[in-house]
Amino acid sequence: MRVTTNSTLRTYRGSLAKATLNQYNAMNLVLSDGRLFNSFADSPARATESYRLHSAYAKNQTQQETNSTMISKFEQAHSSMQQISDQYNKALEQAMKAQNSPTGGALKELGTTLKGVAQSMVHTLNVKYGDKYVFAGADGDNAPFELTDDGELLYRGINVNDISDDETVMAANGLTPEEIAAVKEMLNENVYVDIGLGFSLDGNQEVIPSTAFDSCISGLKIMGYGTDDEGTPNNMISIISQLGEIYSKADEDGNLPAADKETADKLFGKMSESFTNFNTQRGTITSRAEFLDSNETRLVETGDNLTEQFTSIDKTDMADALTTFAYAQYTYNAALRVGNQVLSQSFIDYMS
Amino acid sequence: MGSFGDFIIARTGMMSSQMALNITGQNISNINTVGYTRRALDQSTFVVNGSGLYRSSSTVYAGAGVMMNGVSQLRDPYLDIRFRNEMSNVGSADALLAGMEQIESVINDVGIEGITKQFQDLLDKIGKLNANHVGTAEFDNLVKNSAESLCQLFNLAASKLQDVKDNYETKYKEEVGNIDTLLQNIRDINEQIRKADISGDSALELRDQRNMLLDELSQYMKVDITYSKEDLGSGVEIEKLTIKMVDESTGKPSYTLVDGINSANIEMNDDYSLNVSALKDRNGQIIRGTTDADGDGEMDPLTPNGDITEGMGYGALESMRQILTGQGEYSPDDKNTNKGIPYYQASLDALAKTFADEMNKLNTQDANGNALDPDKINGAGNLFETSDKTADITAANISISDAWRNGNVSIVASTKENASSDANDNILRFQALFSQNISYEGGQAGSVIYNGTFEGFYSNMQGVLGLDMQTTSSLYNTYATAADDLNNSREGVSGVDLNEEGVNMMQYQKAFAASCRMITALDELMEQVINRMGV
Repeated sequence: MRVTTNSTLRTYRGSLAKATLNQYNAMNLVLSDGRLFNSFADSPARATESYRLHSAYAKNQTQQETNSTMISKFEQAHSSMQQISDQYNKALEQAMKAQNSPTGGALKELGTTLKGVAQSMVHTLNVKYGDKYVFAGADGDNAPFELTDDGELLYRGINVNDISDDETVMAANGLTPEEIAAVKEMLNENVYVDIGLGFSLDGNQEVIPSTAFDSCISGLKIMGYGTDDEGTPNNMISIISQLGEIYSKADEDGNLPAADKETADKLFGKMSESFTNFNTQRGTITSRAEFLDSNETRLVETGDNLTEQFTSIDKTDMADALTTFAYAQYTYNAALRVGNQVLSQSFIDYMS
Repeated sequence: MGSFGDFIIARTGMMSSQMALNITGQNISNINTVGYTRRALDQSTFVVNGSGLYRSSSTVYAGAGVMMNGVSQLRDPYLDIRFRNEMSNVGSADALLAGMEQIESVINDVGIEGITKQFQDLLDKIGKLNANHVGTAEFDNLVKNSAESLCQLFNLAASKLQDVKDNYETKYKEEVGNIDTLLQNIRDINEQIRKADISGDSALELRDQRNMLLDELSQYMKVDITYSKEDLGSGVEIEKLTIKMVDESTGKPSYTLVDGINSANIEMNDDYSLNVSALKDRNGQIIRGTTDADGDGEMDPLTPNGDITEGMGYGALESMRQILTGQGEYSPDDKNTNKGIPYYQASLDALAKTFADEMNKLNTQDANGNALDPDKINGAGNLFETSDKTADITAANISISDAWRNGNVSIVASTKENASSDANDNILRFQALFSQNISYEGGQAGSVIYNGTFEGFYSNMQGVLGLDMQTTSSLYNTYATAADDLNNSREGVSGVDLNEEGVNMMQYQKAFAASCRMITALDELMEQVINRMGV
């Protein structure tokens, strides 16, 4: 094949342009912190994989934030329940004093104190996290508990003592059908959030419970509801409130009517039972909070793992980038040297 | 031969060496002239002897010197054909790649805050609304603002894509004008060469110029170039160049573009296809044959003419047309399978519409498809609508609804009447929507282009473009390398080489000097004969 001056020059020019482009790309690789592609066309397979990982990472970040919000909410709940526990102990102490038949106006005073403790418990349970009432179940916009002037405890407008798992009991207690329906809803309500448990919906477009976290905290279930067979309330606040009401009725010598004394004894006897129920519920809340904690660790690990994965796809490490650059520079310099030595001479230069 | 005949022989040697040196000079001085073809002196031995009745059989003839037959160009027509075929491939891939790069400048979210990130942001904001903020106006606003940004990104992408299409259309029109001008220029050069041929001039410069135009033409479309002899009568024959477009579907020559001193016009139709006219003379008069098939009283054009229909074209112009018209799978038939700007416009529209429709559905219907009563369900109503209040949502007109903007509509948290304030069954549906696989239909009934999430669809669009670009890019590199090799081969035949010309220079210089020395020798010989013989 006949190789001409211009074909040599053109080939050289092309090669030099390639070497320059390689060096430019290698330079950009270093300057862009080792980024391997800037469009799908640069590397469709990498870009597609990278998109999937980035998308999963974005979801993971949202789930981490949601999880973190839930942890704060449950910490708030936990702290409030600790306060309830302290308040219960205070109430128990007062009640025990009352049981020991104090003389004079002390019983009446104890009664007033107990009513105050009940009121404090209501305040404690009406705590908010952010804009939402923590113990309001699925009705976070409204304060869940209210203690009426006559000592009755209402949960979302319904007397807790009238509430039962049995509809006929509730009807017998005088609740309207609407109230009964609302109670049934309250006892079964959920507020699911996505914290990376494989969140998905079923065929009815309802969330599959095992794939989401139920963030609902029901003050009703925690504090208890309804009455036992003898008509004594199951709810701790209701017990303390009623006890307070009874003791408040004591005369200046500390005497109570026999019927009230009997009721008071029953209520006192029920206090520890309600506290046991409360502690069981607290255990449930604690275990849910612990689950959130361990889930946070898992989500952070997943996030880190995803970051590591997309970084390894998006970028090469700096050592590689610098090696590539050094090699490109070497090729470029070699091309320049070859050009300078080969192209300058021709037969004409040696003609005499 | 007489005594002085030897001087003539030496003189022809001097003249031919000088001419060869002239040509060497011409070659060297044109080494960088684009399109220049290396020249060489055609020479042969000059013989004046003949045979005859009185010719002595014992007479010996040395010859009468050297004769210059002419100057020829060193060119390989087969390499020209191969190079031009390859250049139609290069032109085709290059134009496709250029078009795709324009599309990519709009549809590329890698490493930037684009539609993909905004989808993720919207899902994040819905997640935040759901996490302990159900029903709170501030968080509904966050969702609303994020959705509005998404709409704006859709609008921006659609408008940029339309700009790309408009600019590309202008460029295509210019290129169609260029090719039409190119054909007229080739026709004009043909005419000049014809005149030169008749007057016996070799018109080498004109041929170089024509070859360059043919090279240029070969990028625009695949052409079949033939050289034939035209009989002018009285035994005079001159060269005639004919250029025909090659029909890509059959691989055979189709419409005649140039035939000697006549050429066709190429114009763009409204649907971007091209129309090739009948051959016309320099005054624009159609060249007619001798038949009248349609019976309109006018003879039919000599050559067929018409549109370059789908599948016929190939080269840069066809690639540009494909970029402008390629609907890909959105085409109602299976003919237009190339993915050009319309494909990506249709994809973007499909994504915007599906997204808006699905979001609206969740905010206006319950899980069973029953319409939500805005009086009973807080915030029920369409979240998205068209900015120009037309019926169909596209990427260009998608907007959050006025009702959402002014607060009459908000994200419906629960589709249940009298639901608790934190009931979030519907927000969960919104969240799930972003992970839901949705089918996107193509232009033909029942065809599914993609089944996946919103983000996935957009990623798929970019992936389709990326793969197309990668394939076209490697094709381009292959074609360009092959064309470059062929060009080097062509250059190997037609190009000027300084070493060679230097050697030639020395060779002809020596030959000239030798002829001069011959005259000196003859002069000395004659001196002997004239001045010293018999003295």
